[in-house]
Amino acid sequence: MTVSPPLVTGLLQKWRDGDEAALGQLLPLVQDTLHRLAHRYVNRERRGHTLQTTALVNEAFLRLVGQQNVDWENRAHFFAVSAQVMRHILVDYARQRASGKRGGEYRHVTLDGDATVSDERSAELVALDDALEALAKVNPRGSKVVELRYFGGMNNKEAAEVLRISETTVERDWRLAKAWLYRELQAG
Amino acid sequence: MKAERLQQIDGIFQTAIELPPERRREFLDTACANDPDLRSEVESLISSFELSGDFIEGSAADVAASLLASETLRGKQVAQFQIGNPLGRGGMGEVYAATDRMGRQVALKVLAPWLVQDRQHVTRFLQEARAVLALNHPNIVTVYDIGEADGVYYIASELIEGETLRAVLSRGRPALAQSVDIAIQVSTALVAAHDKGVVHRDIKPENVMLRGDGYVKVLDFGIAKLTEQFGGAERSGATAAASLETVAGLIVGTTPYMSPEQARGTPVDARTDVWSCGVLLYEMIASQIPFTGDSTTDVLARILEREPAPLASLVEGTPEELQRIVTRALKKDPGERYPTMADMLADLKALRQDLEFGEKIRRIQSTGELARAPGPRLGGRKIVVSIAGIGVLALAVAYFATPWFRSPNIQSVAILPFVNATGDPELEYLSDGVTESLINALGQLPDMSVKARSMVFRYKGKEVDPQEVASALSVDAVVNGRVERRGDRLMLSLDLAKGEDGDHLWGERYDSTMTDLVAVQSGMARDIAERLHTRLSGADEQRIAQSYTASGEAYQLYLRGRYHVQKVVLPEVQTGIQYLEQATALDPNYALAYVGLADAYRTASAADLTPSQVVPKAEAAAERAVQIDPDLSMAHTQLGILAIWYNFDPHAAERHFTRALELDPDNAEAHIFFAHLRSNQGRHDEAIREAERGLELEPFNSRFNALTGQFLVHAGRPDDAIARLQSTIDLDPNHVLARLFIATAYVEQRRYADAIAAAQVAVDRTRRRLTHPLGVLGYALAKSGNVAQARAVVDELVTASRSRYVSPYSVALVFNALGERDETLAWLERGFEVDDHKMNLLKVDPKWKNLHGDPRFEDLVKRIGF
Repeated sequence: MTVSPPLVTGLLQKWRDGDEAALGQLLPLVQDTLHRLAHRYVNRERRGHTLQTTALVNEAFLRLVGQQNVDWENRAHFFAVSAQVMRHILVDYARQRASGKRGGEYRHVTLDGDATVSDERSAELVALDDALEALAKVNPRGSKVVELRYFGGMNNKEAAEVLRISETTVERDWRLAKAWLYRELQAG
Repeated sequence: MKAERLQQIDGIFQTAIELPPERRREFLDTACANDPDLRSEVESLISSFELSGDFIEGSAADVAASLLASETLRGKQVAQFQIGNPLGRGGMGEVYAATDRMGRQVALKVLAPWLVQDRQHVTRFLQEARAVLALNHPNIVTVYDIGEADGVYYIASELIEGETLRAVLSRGRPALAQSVDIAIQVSTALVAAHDKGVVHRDIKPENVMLRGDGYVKVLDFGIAKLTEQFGGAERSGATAAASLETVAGLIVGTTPYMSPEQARGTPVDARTDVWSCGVLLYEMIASQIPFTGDSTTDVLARILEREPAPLASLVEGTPEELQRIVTRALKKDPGERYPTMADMLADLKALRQDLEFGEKIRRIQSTGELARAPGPRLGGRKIVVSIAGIGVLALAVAYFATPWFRSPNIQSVAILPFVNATGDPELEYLSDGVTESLINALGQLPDMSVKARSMVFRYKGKEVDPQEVASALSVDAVVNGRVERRGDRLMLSLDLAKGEDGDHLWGERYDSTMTDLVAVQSGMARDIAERLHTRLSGADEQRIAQSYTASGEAYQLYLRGRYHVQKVVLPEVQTGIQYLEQATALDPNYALAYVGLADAYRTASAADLTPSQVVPKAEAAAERAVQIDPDLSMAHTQLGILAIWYNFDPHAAERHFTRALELDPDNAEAHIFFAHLRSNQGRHDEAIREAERGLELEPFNSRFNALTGQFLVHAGRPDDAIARLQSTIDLDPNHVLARLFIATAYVEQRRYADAIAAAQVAVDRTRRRLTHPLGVLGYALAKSGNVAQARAVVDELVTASRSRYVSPYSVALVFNALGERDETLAWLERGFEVDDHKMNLLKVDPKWKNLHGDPRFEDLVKRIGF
């Protein structure tokens, strides 16, 4: 993949200026880089360790945009895109696992019952994604906050930068969205 | 939902949850006055919030990571491997302990899925990895297999009990001498690999294992290549470093050990390993890596531009020579580095010697020997040196003067396939033949167990560690041989190594011309026997010589003949027969050549030559062999097989096998065909026991394995048969017999689709030329109700029978499955008339079960006489 930093920066700029088509071009580029990085991180980690999504996104940003173009606004937008991409990557992964199970083709025969736990977690992740979709219809900003925090690994400050709202608002949005999603998943 | 409504809910919700729970009701009463919907919505959200706890407080990536961690293969079967406990996870995938079908413990690395997404890329990798399979060196972790099964790509290698250098380093700095020793062993491994054209590309402490006994083993040779080619084509110009960083960081994850050329993304050669070995050495000495930075970009920049801190500045007292070695290994320009790994190794060894010497001097000085040393004080240091030198010399003399045969008595030996180093593939028959002759010759010695051909030929083309072979084959000693050519002369070299510790016991070179090869070969057998400390009686010696020929030319023809016959397909067998006939024409007393000839004729009949054309010749050859050498076990075995196949004479067969086994209880073929006899007689338990004896001697003989499977089918144990035959097929997927037998077993279980598939493989493998596979296919098709296709097959066979020999037994099979009893019996009668060899199975082959009780069939069985 040959991605020049000016290309990515240009797309980010366009998107910021309201060009939705730019986002369409941006997504696959970010997706590719993040996908590789994510795999690397996920595989390096042992169970119980924390995958640092922000570190990962940072690295992707450096790669795609370059150090010399550090412009916080670009960076914020890049993070927003990345969170969306991470969501796709992670949910797709969980979805694959979940469907693999149903096919019976790839049965888990672990001795310690890991299978059940991980199956459940896969299913939860997929269900969360659906719920988030539903939330986006009634509460788009709340849904975005969850995407940034949970899938993008951001803290409130970073999310606030991306959404250009105050940190307090991010925290409030987060609570409401969390309650809403939890209720949705419990009901479903 | 309207934005106002959302705002309304949000406002009330946020305020409410900030309040202590006991005050919320009061607040909601006011806030949601007259709006029960609003109230119920907010209440439900509040209660959800209270219950939600840690929900989505972590990170989705953590969940994915833990999913991935649990995605274990433990307990599963991948190809021939039963997977056990995970051993760890590296950048490239999970590593498990696993057991192969032979019960051998292996380390199975399962490549992470994203590594193998690009199939073309993977295929190329698998091809190139063949070179890694050929690596065999005591300091290299042996790779047994690289392959794919059900989409899982795996690398099976020797399981090392030990720990990684990374683990050792994490506990602290190793002693200087140990670090140098580790570097020497790693370099030795790299020299061996570079000789074979394999560059490691990813030397790092994680890839170096230390065994308890001090052996250092390097793993993952050439595997890094899998990662390097990732998108490599697009790598260029300014993005090179960055994209390589992605690539290397992604999979290899070892930026600090990368050479400058790797960092740049330019092509690498063996000198990249020199660099990485330098980094490794630096790290062991200094307890830190030479090039560090806050980010991969930083590290890469330093690799490309900075000189590492001098070792002495980090560790006081670092020998200058060590610094010099490290500096030379870490030259940015590959042209300034050690040109080969061997050069670096030489320097490391010299350094070790210096260190040991210094150590000795220090010891002597500290114990005060210097003070007691006689002689003038001037040049005292030199005196010490010479004293130490004498000590070393004395030790060496003592060591070499110890007769090697004081080592434990050797009772079993494996003769590994001679390496054909002539550069002429035409002479392959010679290296193979010499090996086989030695196996046969030494196999005749009393009290000496010599591993069979099928056991040792698995190692053909591999340079192997004698110790490992010895332990894998459980033998006391291993013989390695090599054939080279100097002009028109042949140089044969032999090496005998002790199995227990791989110690070299003895080696000899033989100079030979093509014509005096026989004498040389007998000499080799005698020398080995002597070195094996076997007392040879005159009779024994004669026996070794007897089955052979004095004619070098005949010997070569014999070797060529055997080579071709072992390829089993008809044209090859016929070529082999020609050579063997020439051999016996040249030396009419050449017993082994007659045995080879008997075997070749019989093989030809199984490949659809009319029995009457070949069987008498086979019998004459076997009888002639017995006449020449009545004590030749192999000759009696041939007679036994012929008695079963063509004479349908169980008594004669029994006599021959009994004699063959008296002469050589380790004759696996005699055991297997004795089992065949018992199976034909319906004495199934005895048959299986006898077959097991043969398999103990030659567990990897796929033909013997397949036949045992057939005996199980005949014993009415299709389940066991399928398990056995499946293992044969795993061992050798092209094994036609195994496919045919398993097809019968599947029909017994009414697994018709599987039966048809198996028979189809056998038909395809024999290019539809051999009739028995077609018969079995037609049989399976008819059984499955696929009448039209079965008919087509039987028509094909009947038509073919007009122009060439077609096994009537095979034709009868299809007719029987089609329910045409008269046709069936007519073809069977014909089979009996022409001595079709498969007729010997009539009584026990379950394919005829439906005919049991039919007087015509019973009469035929009686006439056949088992």
